[in-house]
Amino acid sequence: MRTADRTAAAVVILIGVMAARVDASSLPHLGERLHRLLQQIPAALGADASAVDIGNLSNPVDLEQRLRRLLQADPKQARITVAHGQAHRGDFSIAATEAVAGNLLIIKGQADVFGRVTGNVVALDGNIVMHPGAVVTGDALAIGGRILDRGGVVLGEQRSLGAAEVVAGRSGGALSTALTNAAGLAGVLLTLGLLGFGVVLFARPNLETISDTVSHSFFRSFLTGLLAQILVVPTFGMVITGLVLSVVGILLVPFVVLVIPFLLLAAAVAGFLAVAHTMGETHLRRRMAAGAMVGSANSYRYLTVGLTGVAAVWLAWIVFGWVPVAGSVMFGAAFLATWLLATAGFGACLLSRAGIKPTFAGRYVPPEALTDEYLWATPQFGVTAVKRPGGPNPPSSRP
Amino acid sequence: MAGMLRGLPSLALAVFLATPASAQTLRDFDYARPLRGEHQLRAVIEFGAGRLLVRPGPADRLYGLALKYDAERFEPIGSYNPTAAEVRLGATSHGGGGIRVNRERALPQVAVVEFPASVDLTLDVAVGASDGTLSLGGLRIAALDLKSGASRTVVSFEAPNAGSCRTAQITSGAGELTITSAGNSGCRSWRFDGGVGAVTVDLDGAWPADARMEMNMALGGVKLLAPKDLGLRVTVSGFLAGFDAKGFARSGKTYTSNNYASAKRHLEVEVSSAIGGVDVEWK
Repeated sequence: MRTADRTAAAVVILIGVMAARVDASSLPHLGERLHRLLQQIPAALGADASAVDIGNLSNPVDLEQRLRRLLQADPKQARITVAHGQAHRGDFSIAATEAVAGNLLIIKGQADVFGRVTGNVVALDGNIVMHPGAVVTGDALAIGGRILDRGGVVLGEQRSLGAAEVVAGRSGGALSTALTNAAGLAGVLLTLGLLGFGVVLFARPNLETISDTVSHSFFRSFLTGLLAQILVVPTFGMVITGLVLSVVGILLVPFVVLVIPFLLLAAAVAGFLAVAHTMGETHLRRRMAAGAMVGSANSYRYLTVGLTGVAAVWLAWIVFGWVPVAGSVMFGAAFLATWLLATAGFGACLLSRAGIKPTFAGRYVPPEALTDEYLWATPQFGVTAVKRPGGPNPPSSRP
Repeated sequence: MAGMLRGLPSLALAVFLATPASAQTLRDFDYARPLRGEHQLRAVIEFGAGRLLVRPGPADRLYGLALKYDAERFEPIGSYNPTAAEVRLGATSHGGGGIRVNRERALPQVAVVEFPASVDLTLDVAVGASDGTLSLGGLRIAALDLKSGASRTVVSFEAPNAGSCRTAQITSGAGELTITSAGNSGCRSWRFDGGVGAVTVDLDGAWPADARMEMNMALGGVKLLAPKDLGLRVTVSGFLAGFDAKGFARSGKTYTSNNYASAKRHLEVEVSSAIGGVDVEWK
C-alpha cells in the first residue's frame, strides 16, 4: 500500500472513531468540530509533524522565528501542531459557552475569545481580542499583532510583539557611508599631521631617531611594541599595587593613574608619526635615487607622504566599506596593517627612549672604526681586513 | 586595458548610486502581568541604548513594559519568576554586546516601565548609553540599585516613598547623574560610586529619618543642593578633593553645617574622591 493510501485509510478510521463520540446536542457545531478534528489529524498520525511548544512564552522572538521557519518550510502549515493544545489557521473564534482545554495557536488570523481557554493563547500575524466574559487562564502572546482588551481577562502574562517597522536608514546608502568614512579618516589624518608638524618643529631630532630605529630595526621594534602591549596592563597594575602597599606611595597613585596612560598615548602617537616619517622618507629617497624631481626633501614632506600612504591603506575600506562581508574584511585588513605600523612605532619609541638613545637607529660606529682608513672606506673588519698585512686582527696562523 | 582603467571611476560611481539606502527595523514589544495579590517585587531592568522611563503605573498591573527596540541589534527581555517574585525587563543586544556607536545610525529605542504603587519594589536598573528618567515618586521603593554607564540619568522622587527604603546604591560611569528630592526616597543609606561623570544630588524632600550618604568618586565632581532645614556633616577624604566650606564649621576633615544642632533631620555625607571636588549649595 502506498503512503498516501495508508494515510487516507487512517483518516477514515480516525473520523469514524471520533464521530462515535459526537452526541446529537452538538450537531450544530459538528462542522466546526469536524474542521478542528481534521486539523488535529497530522498530530494524531504522527507522520513527521512539526510540534511547537507554546507552554513557555518568555522568549517570543525565538518562538516567532520557529513558527516562521515552519511556515516557510510548509506554507500550508498543515503539519504544525501544538504540544498539549491545538493549532488553527485563519480567524478563529471561541464561543461564550465554549471552553478550550490546553494551549491554542492561531496562525495568520485573529483570535476572538468569548469563552474560556485553559492554557496559553498565541496568535501569529493577528490580534487576540478578549471579549467581555472571556478568560484565558494562561498567558497570551500576539506576534505581529496586539492584545485587545474588550472586557476579558488574561490571568497570566500578556505579551505582544508588534510587526516590524522598517525605518529608512539615515546613512543614505553607500555614497553617504563612504563620504562619512572618508571624512572621519581625513579628520584623523589631519590631526595626526598637525601633531606631526608640531613634533617636527619642536622635537625633530627625537622624531628622526625613532624613525631611524624603525627603519633599521623594524622587527626588533615590532617585537618590543608587541611585548609592551602585552605587559602594559600587568605592569600598570603592579605599579599601582606597589604604590598602595608602600603606603607612602598612595599619594602618588592619582598622578600615576593620569600620567602613565598619557605617556603611553604619547609614545604610541609619536611612534606612529615616526613610522609615517620613515615611510615618507623611504619613498622619497627611492624616487630621488631613480632620478625623479621631488622638490625639497624634509621631515614635513616625509610626514605628509607617509600619512598619505597610511590613508591609502584605508582607501579600499572607504570606497567599498558598505559591501556586507568584503567591507568588514577590508576594515580588518586596514586595521591590521595600521596596528602593525603602530606597534612597530611604539616599540621604536621605547627602544630609543623617546628618541634619546640612537642605539638601534643604525648610527652606532665603534671608536676603532673612526680612523683615516675608515674615512677612505677601507674595511676594518671581516675577511678583507684580515687578509691585509698588519690588520687589526691577524690570523692566528700568522707567525 | 587603458580603456577599462578609464571606465573604472564611472563604474564605481554607478555602483554607489545603484546601492539602495540601508533600512533598519524597529519593533514594539509590550509585556504586562496583572496584579494578583503580590506584595513585593524585584525588578531587574537592563537597557543598553535609547531612552528609558520608569514611572508609576496602573494599580491593577504588577508591571508593564512598552518597548520600541532595534530588532537588528537588540532583543526584548520580559520574564517573570513567580517563586522569586522577580521580573526581568528591558532590551539586550544580540550576543551580549555592541551598540550603534554612530549615534546618527542609532534607532530611537524607547522603554517605558511601569509599576503599581502598592507593591514593595526592589529596583535593580542597569542603563548603558541611554537617557534614563526614573520617576520613582509615589512608589514603594524598598531598595534601589542603579548602574549608569555613559548615560544621562535623572532619578526623581516627586512624592514621598510610601514604603520603607533600606538602601540606594548608585554606580555612575562617565555619564551625568541627577537625583532630585532625595529626601522623599526615605532611603536611610545611600552609596554612590562615581567615575568621571558629574553627580548632582538635590537633598530636598521629606526625610523620614536621619540618613547617611557615602560617595566614592574617582574624577567626577559632586554637587549637593541642600535645603536650609537639613543638617549636614560632610567628611571629605581624597588627595586632591576640594570642598567649599561656606556655611560649615571645620574640624579636621569633617565639615559640620552651622544649622546642624537645630536641624530636625541630619545627613552624614562621606566623600572619598581622588580629584573631584564637593560643592554644597544651600537652597
